[in-house]
Amino acid sequence: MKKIGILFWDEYRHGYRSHEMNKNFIQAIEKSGALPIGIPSVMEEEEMDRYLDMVDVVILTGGEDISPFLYEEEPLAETNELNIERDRSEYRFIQKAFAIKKPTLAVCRGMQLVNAVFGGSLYQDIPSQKKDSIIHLPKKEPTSNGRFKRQYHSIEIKEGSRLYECLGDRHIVNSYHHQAIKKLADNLKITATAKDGIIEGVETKDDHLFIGIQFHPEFSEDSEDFQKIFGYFVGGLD
Amino acid sequence: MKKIGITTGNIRVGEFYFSSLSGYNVDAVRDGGALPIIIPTSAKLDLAEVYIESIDGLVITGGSDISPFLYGKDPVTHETYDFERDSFELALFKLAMEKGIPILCICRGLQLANVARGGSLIRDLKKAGYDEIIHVVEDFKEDSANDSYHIMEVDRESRLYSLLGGEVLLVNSVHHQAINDLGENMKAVAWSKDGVIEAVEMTDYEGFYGFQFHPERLYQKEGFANIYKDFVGRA
Repeated sequence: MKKIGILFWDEYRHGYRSHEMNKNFIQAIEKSGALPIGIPSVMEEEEMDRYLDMVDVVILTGGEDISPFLYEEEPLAETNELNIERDRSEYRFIQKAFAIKKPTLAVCRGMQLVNAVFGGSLYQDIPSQKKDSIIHLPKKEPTSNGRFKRQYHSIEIKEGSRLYECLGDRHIVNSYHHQAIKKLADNLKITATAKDGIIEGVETKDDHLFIGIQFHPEFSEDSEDFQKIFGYFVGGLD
Repeated sequence: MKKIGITTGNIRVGEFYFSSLSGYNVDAVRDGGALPIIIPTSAKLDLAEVYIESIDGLVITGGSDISPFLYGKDPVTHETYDFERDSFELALFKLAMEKGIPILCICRGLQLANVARGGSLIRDLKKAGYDEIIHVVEDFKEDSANDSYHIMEVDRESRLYSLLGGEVLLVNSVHHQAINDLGENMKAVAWSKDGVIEAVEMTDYEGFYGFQFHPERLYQKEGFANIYKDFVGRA
C-alpha cells in the first residue's frame, strides 16, 4: 500500500500547539487506496529525510500567508497572519523533497511556497494588488451556522499537463485565497489559469511528478473529478 | 530511528471534522529519540494493520470518553463519545499487542486498554463520591494552559518507580473518568491519595505503559523524561 505523507498544520488550542488536518484530506487519501501518514509541519532537519524515506508521496496543504521575506518583500497591510516557524520548516522540506523528486501535491499555500522556494514571488493580496481580478476569497468568514462561505470560478487547463489528465480543459473550482503566484519560479510552468490570469495550476518543467494547485481538491463535494488528482499520485507511480 | 505512531482525536471545526493531536505528544516522542508518526483516526479498520506494520511503538492519546456500550453500559452522566475513534484505537491496540511492540496509553488511552482487557470504568469521579481531590478543573478556560495537579504515590516494586525514581510525585490531572475494575493481567502501580488509579502495568506484557495523568506534558521534568526514553528504547 502506497503511503502519502501529509503535513499537518499547527493550530493553538487550550494555550498550546496542536497538529491538525481536515478529515476531507485524510478521506480523499484513503479513497485513493493509499495510507495517510501525518507529519508535523514544523519538524527538525534530520527528521525530514526520514519522513521522505518513509512515504511515496507528499502533500503540502493550505494555511497561513507565506512570509514575504522569502521573496524579498515586506508585508503589506493586507497580509494576514504569518507562521515563520512553519515557513522555515516547510521551505527546507520542499528543497529536500524536490532534490529527490519525491512525488508531491501542493495545495494553495503549498503551491505558493514551492514557487517562493525556487525563486518566484507572490501577490501578497490579490484585491489590492491586481485591480481587475475576479473574486478568489469569499467575502466573509464562516457564517453563524458554521458553514463556510463558498466561492467558485472557472479555470482553463493546458493540454498535455498532468492536471489536464485529471480534469480536462476546463473546470469549475472552489476558491479560498487572497495570495497567488506573481513571478513564476524558473523550474515551474503554468498548467491552469483563471479568467483574470491568476495562476491556478503549476507543474515542473522536468519529469518530477509534481502538481501544484490553487484550489482545494479535498472538498470532494465541489467536484467528483477532484478525487482523480489523488488517484493520479497513487496509480501514476507504478 | 524508531517510528512511534501517535493516535489522534476528531474535533469539529464549523462544518468540518479535523484530526487533532496535542503537540506535547509529538514533542515528548521526539525528545525520547524517535520519529513521531501521526495516525489519523479512520473509519477503515483494515488500515490499522498497515499502520502497525509501519511503526515500532504506539502511543494511544487522551481525548473524549470511551463509549460505555463497549463494556455493556448505557450513558449515566455527561459523556462525549467518538465511536470511530473507539473502534479504530481498539484495533490498533490489539494488533500492537499481537506484534509485541511497546504501547504507551494516556488518560483515555489507558481507559481504552483497560476496557479492551475486560475492565470497567468509574463513569464520573464526582458522582462516584471522589470529591476531596480535584481531578479536573471544571471552569477550564480556552486561553489557560494550567492543569490541576495532585500528589501521586508509586508502588516501590513497579517498573514505573525505577523510571521516576521517587515514591511521591506531583502529577497533572485532566479527567472525570477513571479505572474501576482492572482488566485481565493489569496491575495498578500508582494512585492519587483518594485511591484513584494513576498508573497501570501489565503482568504479561512488559512494554505496556498506562497513565491516567499526562506524561507528555511533563516530559521535560526529570524522571518523567525516563518514561519516554524507556518506551522508545524498547521499540
